[in-house]
Amino acid sequence: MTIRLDALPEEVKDIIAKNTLKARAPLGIENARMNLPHKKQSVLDLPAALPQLRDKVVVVASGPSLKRQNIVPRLKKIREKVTLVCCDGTLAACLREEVVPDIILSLDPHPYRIVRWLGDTKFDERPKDDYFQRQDLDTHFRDNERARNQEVIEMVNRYGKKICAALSTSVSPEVTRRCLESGMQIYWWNPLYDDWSQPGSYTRQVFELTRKEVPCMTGLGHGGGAAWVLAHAVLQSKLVAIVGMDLGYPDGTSVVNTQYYEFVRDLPMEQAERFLLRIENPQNGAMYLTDPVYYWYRESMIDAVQRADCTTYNCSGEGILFGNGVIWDTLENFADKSTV
Amino acid sequence: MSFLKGNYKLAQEVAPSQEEIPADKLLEQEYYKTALSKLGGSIAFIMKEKTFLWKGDEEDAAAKDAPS
Repeated sequence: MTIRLDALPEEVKDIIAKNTLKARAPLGIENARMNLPHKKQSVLDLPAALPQLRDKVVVVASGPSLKRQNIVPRLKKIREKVTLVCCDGTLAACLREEVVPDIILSLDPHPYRIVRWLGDTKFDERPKDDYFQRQDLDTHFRDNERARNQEVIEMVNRYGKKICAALSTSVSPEVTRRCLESGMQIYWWNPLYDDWSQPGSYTRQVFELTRKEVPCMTGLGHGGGAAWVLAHAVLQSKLVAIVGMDLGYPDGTSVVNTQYYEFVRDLPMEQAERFLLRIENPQNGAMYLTDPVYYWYRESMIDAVQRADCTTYNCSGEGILFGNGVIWDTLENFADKSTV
Repeated sequence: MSFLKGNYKLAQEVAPSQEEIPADKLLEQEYYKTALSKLGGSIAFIMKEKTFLWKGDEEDAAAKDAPS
C-alpha cells in the first residue's frame, strides 16, 4: 500500500508511544538502578573528554543504506574532518573497516541482545533467539554467529580504549559491563521518558535516582535519534549529518527481515505484510517500505529537526527521512562544508 | 445524538442495518488490534518545545548547589 506522508493516524502514534512507555520505562529504571555503581561522569563531561571535537558531526545509524551506499569506506576518507557518533549496532561495521568512532551511543534496555553489538562474552549463556539471524541492521551478524561474535569481541577489545560510550542509564548492565571490560569511558544520560512536570513521571524518578547529576535527554525513540540529539544539544555542533538513517527498508524486503517482525510474528505472513507501508522518496525516486514504528520515528525526527539549533543533512542516500528542514546531500559535500 | 430524539418523526421507519461485517474483515481487524497492542520503539521519549536536554528545574539546581 502506498501512502501519503501524513497518513498514520494520530491515534496509532499515541498507542505506539504509550506501548513504548509502558514496556520500556520500568525496565529502563530498573537498569538505571543496577548501573548506579558505575555512574562517574555524565554526557556533559563529553566535549572536554574528546581529544578533538570537530565542528561537524556525523551520526551513524544502522539502516540498510549503511551497506548499500558503501558508507563506512566513504566515512574513512573524510574521518579527519568530522567527529563521529555511532549507534551501538554500527560499531562492528565501522571497526571492520578500521573506522574508530569518537563516541558510541546505546539506549535500548533489552537484557541481552544489545550487548552482542559489542561482542557478547556470555554468548553461550543466552536464551535461544533468532534476532541476529534475521535482522537487517548488520547482515554480517546473520551467519556463523559464534565466530562472528568472537570477531567482534576481539575488535572491540582492541579499540575500546579509544572510544567514549554515551550510555543511557536504561541500558542493560551487560552493556555497561562490556563497555568497561573493553576499556571504554562511560558518559551517562537519562532518557526523557515523559513529562517531568507530571506527578509520577518516570523522568523525574530516574533523575532523582541518579541524584540529579545525570541530565535527561530526549532519545526520539531510537539510537539514531538520540545520537543526533547528542550531536547538537551536548556537543553543540551546528552542522550535523546523518548516515544510515533509513527508517525503512528497500522495496521487496521480507517482513521477516524487518525490525517490526517481532510484533507480528504470530500473525499469518500475508497479514503481517499488510501493515507495511510503501513510501516514495522524491530525492531518488525509489520506493521504501516502512512500518508504523519507523514512521513514528520519522515524524518525530522531522518535528525535532525544526526545533533544533543546528542544520541537519541526511547523507544516507536512501530511506524515508526527507523534507521539512532535512537537507538531502552527500557525505563528501557535507565534509567540505565550511562552518564559518 | 440524544437532542435529536423526538424532534421529528420519520415518514418511514428505518430498520437497523442488517449488513454483517464479513468474517475475513473481522479477522483482519482482530489482527490489526493484536499487532497494534504490541507495537513500540526502543525507548519512550517526550519532545517539549525546544527542550532536548533537561538538567532539572531551578529548585533542583538550587538544592544541588546548597551546602549539605
